Amino acid sequence: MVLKEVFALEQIGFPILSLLLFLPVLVIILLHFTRTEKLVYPIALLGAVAELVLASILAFAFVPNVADVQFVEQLGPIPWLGVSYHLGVDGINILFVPVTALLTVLVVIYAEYAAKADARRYLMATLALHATMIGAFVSLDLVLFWIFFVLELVPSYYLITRWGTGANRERAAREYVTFMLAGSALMLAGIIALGVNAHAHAGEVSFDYVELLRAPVASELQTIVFFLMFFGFAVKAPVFPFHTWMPKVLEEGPVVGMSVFLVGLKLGTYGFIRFLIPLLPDAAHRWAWLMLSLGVAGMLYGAVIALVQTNLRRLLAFSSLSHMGVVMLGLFAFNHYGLQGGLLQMINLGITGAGLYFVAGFLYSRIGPPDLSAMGGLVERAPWLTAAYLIIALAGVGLPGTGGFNGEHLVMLGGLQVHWAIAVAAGVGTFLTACYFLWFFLQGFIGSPSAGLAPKLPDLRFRERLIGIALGFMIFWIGLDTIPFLRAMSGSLRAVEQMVGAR
Amino acid sequence: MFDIVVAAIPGLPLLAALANGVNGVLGERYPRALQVRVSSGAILLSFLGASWILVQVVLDPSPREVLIGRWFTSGDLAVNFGFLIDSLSAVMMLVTTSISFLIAVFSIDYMHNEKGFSRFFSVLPLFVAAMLVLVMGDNYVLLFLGWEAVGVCSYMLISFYQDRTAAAQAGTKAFVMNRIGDAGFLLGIFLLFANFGTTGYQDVFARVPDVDTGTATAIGLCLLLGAVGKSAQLPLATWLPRAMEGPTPSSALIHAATMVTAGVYMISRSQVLYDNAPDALLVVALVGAATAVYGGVVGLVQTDIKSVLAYSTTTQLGLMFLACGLGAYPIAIFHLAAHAFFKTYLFLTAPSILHHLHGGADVKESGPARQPVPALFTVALMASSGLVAIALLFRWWRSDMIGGAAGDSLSILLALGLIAAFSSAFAAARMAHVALQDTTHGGHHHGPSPIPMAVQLLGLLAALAAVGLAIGLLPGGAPGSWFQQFLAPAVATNPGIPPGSWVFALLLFGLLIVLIFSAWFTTLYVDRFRPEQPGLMFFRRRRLYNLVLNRFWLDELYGALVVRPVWKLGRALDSFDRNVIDWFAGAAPAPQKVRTAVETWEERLLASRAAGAIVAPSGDMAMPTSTWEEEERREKEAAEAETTGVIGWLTRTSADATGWVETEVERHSPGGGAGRLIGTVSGVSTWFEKAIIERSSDLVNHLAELVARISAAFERIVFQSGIHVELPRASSRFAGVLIRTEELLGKRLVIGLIVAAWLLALVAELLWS
Repeated sequence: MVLKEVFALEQIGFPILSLLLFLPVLVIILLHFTRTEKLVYPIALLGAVAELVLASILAFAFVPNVADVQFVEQLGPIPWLGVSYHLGVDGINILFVPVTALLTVLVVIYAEYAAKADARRYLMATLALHATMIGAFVSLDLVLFWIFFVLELVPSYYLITRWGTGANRERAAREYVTFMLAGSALMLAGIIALGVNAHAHAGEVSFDYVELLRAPVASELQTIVFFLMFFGFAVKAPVFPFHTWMPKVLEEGPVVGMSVFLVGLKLGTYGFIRFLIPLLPDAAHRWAWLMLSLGVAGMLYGAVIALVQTNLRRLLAFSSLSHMGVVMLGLFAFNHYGLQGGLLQMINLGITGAGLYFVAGFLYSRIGPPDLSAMGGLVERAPWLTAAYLIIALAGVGLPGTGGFNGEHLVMLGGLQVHWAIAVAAGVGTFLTACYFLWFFLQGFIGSPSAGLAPKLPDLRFRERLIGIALGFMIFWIGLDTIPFLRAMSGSLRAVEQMVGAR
Repeated sequence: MFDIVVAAIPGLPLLAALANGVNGVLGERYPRALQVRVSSGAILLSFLGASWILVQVVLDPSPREVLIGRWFTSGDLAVNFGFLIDSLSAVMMLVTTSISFLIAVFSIDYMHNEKGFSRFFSVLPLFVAAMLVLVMGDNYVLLFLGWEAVGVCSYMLISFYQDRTAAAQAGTKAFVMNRIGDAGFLLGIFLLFANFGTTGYQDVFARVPDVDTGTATAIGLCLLLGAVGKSAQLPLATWLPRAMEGPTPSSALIHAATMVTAGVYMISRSQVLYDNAPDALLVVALVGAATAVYGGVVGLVQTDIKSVLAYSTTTQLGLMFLACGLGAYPIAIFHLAAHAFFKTYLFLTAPSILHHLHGGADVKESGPARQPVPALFTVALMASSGLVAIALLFRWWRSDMIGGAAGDSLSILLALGLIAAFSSAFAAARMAHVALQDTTHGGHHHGPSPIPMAVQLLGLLAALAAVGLAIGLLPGGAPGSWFQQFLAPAVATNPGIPPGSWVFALLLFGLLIVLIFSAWFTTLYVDRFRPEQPGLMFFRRRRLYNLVLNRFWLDELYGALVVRPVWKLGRALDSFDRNVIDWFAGAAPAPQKVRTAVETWEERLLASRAAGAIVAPSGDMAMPTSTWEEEERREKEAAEAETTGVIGWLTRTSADATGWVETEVERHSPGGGAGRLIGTVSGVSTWFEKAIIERSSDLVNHLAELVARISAAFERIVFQSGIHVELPRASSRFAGVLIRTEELLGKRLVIGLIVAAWLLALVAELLWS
């Protein structure tokens, strides 16, 4: 499979992806040297908004419904090493860029409440995290991707240990980093194997995604590389048996910043559809049953555990695990509906999963840990907060008209074509999702107020309302005007489908 | 023009909902009068639009499609915002908008003291818009959009009184039970798409003859599951009575007149599909009949008027399903429309009845028994019974004249028409009865307001419907009535119904008679309002009475079978995660309490190992007298105790597992046979213990563990069958296994080992091949 590349200079006249990547770095440096504390927020906000504007320009200039890689920039490759600075977007990663930028803007908006002390470092770490995320999403070179994938750990570790809320946050951060490093070590081994294979095939080492697509991989090697890389992505996603770090990090970690990125940006499953499935189609086919089983298991397992959580942050961690299962089902169904649904669902989770973490953050700033024992009857005192939770949760449940419906149900449709049991399991999953979100709503927001609840609970403040409105807008936009989103991804997904289906 | 009107019919209420919603969120900037005018005005306009559409459809009955926009496309799947206007949707639009308008007017008075006034008046038009999308959409996905949206509105209105926990619980229950049905509905839509390549009604129905009966049956059953959830049929019937927690106007609108009838609409809409799936249709009929009886019987013993009305709704919906199931779709739709008006009237007068019963002292003084049964009711009752007889006679006459199948099926259909007629007549009788009461107690009004204009208007409509019923429906059972002719392009009586058998017909009439009696008793019962004095012959039998009083224990059954096990499973799984946290924190999981013989034995085994570990280094000197066997045992044990890897874990696990089982067992059976059994088993295991420890070889040590586990499993089985099979316990055992698995998975070492083994196996497999 040969993908056509359209260079950024031809398409838009300036290297927009590099700009997206290095603008945050510039802002970080600026923040570091700013003397006046007052200027810290405005600079960071300006930087984040500029990123969002750039990302929107990128999204609107993107030509939908084709498989071409667009806005490509390439330097290198470095001789002997085969590593090149190769950026580009196609239908698979285009939507992640604006979502990342949007979440960053929202996190920066909220930063004034989230990190009153030492806001400068908080913002710097957040922007650094943002830059590594963007880098990982737009890299087309596997080693470059890997570098960003690992670099992301540095600001994460810093954010968890420095701004975490739990007593055990150090341990959680260590565990997070250990898991990620172990996974990425295996992944690197897989990447190198691919590069060596390319050398055997084309005479030189290359880690370039577009080059690697041309080099066929022997079936036996595919399986090994598939699993090496799978472990890296599975830990990150997280896929069912590798999820144990997640509830801890989300419960102990920072209230908003880090968690939003962790839940919202599905780098792990992105890796599946970006690298694993197109590069190793035979293995993907052979092990699809395993992936589907892991998806079903994670979906039901996470949902059942979420059912009994009393702490919103833990609940969301398991709900995220459950939703990851749905995405897996879509991706490994290998048909257009499934792939499209899975990808759309990843974007949706960027809004809903992350959005609920914002709600948890709002709650945290009012009542401490968002536990049911400290809640109840919030609707009387904070109707905005209640509405924000309800709307985002209903999108998570997959109500028609919200983005969740289209994603989840395309996945079910894709699953049905593989086996009816998958669709039934997905149906049970959505049912359980409704149960746990509404149960929490019933206990925490309606019901009778708990004894410890402050009599005067402030409703959402201006910035928080802004965040809620932005998220609600995105939910209904994706839900009611889905075609532009689906069109953006469909070209590349058809190409993926061909790569897998041709076998 | 036509397109614009069609788009405006759901569009205007939606805009009104948005306007009122924004206003409410911003803190009620506009006065209430304006909010009311916005919402009821929008609904009035869409009512006028619907009437105009009805006229258009009467003039030209061919179905028309109106495309508003595209929603989403993926591969071959293309879903549009498109509306299908034919006689069926025209009738449904008219019913929805007219009743909604009346309710909106009624609510102005009813809700004027409530806190959530603006909330109510933004949800109400939203509901109307959603319901209109449901009945107007030209494809199943749009139907589903409306379907879910009315569900959300229903959720918001049931849990309207936010300070009442019961209301919130009822709302959640309704939503969740509906989700079960919705999962089936969705599966049905997917099956439709997989088999027909489209979800649009017209295309699907055109291609229905191409698929085999099995597929059509599967689709029909999946769709039926959705309808069962939405229309509160068995087995998902229990949410509807609880839904009466909402404000009365919304109960009238959503949980009696419109939303709950969506299932009937969907089945009638899919009639082509169901006609090709006779088995599915039979299930529809059975579900409807069972629900009708369930609702009728349980309704007998309810003690508050809204519950009575809710169960009466359940009954009526069951009858509509029965009609659909027997292929008499037009009758079901007619019944739907008639029922909507009657039931709305009953609901809106319910507050004043309540008021009379509770507020008027003279009701109690005069005593319930002396309240006369209104003459009109008796007449209606006699008329209904007479109709049954006529139907029977008619049936004989027809079969004599024509003979064979046609006569049979016709008589069944007639009987159905009669059921519909009867239920509406009953509703009319109830209405008359209430009206009588109103005149009797006219002087005792205490309430916030006399019966408002809207109700009187409704009364008029109800009377109209009664007239229509008397004239229109009786021939409506037979082909050729005006209503059937009007509906014919969209829905028609299924001609291919298999001929009814004697048994079936008799059952049907039996059902009818039961319903008549139950309705009669219900009426008496509500008049009396004395639950402890059931003058009902049926329920002298205490057990039956209890059974019915508890709604056949359906809620409890679901609780025991589904809710609690899942809950327990979740709790257990959750505790695993905390255990893993403990593991990382370095604290060992707390040891289980030990009480029973086997447990002690296990513990002793472990303790002896631990002791061995400590003693062993100096053991040679401390115990010179020990035999070589014992020494060897100590050494083995010491070595074993140091291996803290998988074996150590296994030991702990088995100890924990047995301990847990034993604690459970003891908790459930403090003595008697259970105790004796424990004694026996512990005796056996003691014997094992002696034999094993004396042998004291490594292999045997492991064997001991195995035996311990087997004995534990044996005990578990014995006790499960010995005491009673408890699903929740079984599930928490399953959870126990999962906990262990997860504990293992939580360890980095284990994960690493798994990954390594996985890769090794792969390499080995490759090398082998």
